[in-house]
Amino acid sequence: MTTKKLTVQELARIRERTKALTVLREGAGRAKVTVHMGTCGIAAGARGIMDALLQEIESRGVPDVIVTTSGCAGLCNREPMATVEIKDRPPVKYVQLTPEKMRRILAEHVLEGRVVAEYALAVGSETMY
Amino acid sequence: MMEDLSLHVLDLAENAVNAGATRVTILINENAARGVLTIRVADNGRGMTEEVRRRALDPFFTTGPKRTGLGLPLLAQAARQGGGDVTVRSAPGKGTRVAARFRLRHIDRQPLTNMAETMIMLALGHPEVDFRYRHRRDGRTFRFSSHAFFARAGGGSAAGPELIKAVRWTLRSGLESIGAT
Repeated sequence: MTTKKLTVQELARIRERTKALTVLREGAGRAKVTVHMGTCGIAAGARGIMDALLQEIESRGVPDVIVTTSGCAGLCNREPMATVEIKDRPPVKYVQLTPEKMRRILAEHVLEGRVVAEYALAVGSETMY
Repeated sequence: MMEDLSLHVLDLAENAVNAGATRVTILINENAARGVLTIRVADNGRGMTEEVRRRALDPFFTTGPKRTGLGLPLLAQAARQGGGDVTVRSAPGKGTRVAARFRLRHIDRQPLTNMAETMIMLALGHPEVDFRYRHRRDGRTFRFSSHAFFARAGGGSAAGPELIKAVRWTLRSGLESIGAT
């Protein structure tokens, strides 16, 4: 762990670079990934799934993927789960994830548009009930 | 069963977000002299009626459709196991405050483990919510506000690589500086 302090100038520089991306929250992002973070998801390892996703975004330098969390979708026994939404395509829900599966989903589905069918539960609405 | 207490904190904070909170205060106090660990999560969400609050720790009670509602009962169980207890204060329109106490050196107390990771997920997953975090450990204090951080570093956007790196660094080094994890 480096002990070098992050300076105000460095933070300002990061702000400048990320400012252009603020519109993405309003729906212009390449994709949105929702990690299910209900009690069941958290107990099953959702935090590690989201961490793997953020690490992959960081290491690949992906600037325009929106990452967020949601509550229990009613399929607690299939957690950890995540939903990938790409503009103008139906959302895809992935189940029983591992950090490795999440990394592959980011690489193949989010970045290249190919659904990883073997990990997917269904294609359709985000809400299950 | 949650593996560690920082996962309970994540769960409580997610509850707060789902209750419509715009500000969530997370206080951790590790006090070796008194042998006590306290966790408090307070929000300005919609709050609970007295009837719901009284039953909030009951594992067979929930308000959500299809939801099992086990978050608070699991925390209460973890607290009892660690020689402590949980109190819930809430009022409609005024938010909710959950306080959990543990005996710091109780052999069955779950470890806190990874508060940095919990705070990273919250700050980046819900940029619209201000998470105010204060972690005190034996007299030393680390403070973090996600909105104050984003105001300096930019944010409210897609979690870009630089922002992720900066949040991670700030939380990890801050907690390291007080000897916490």
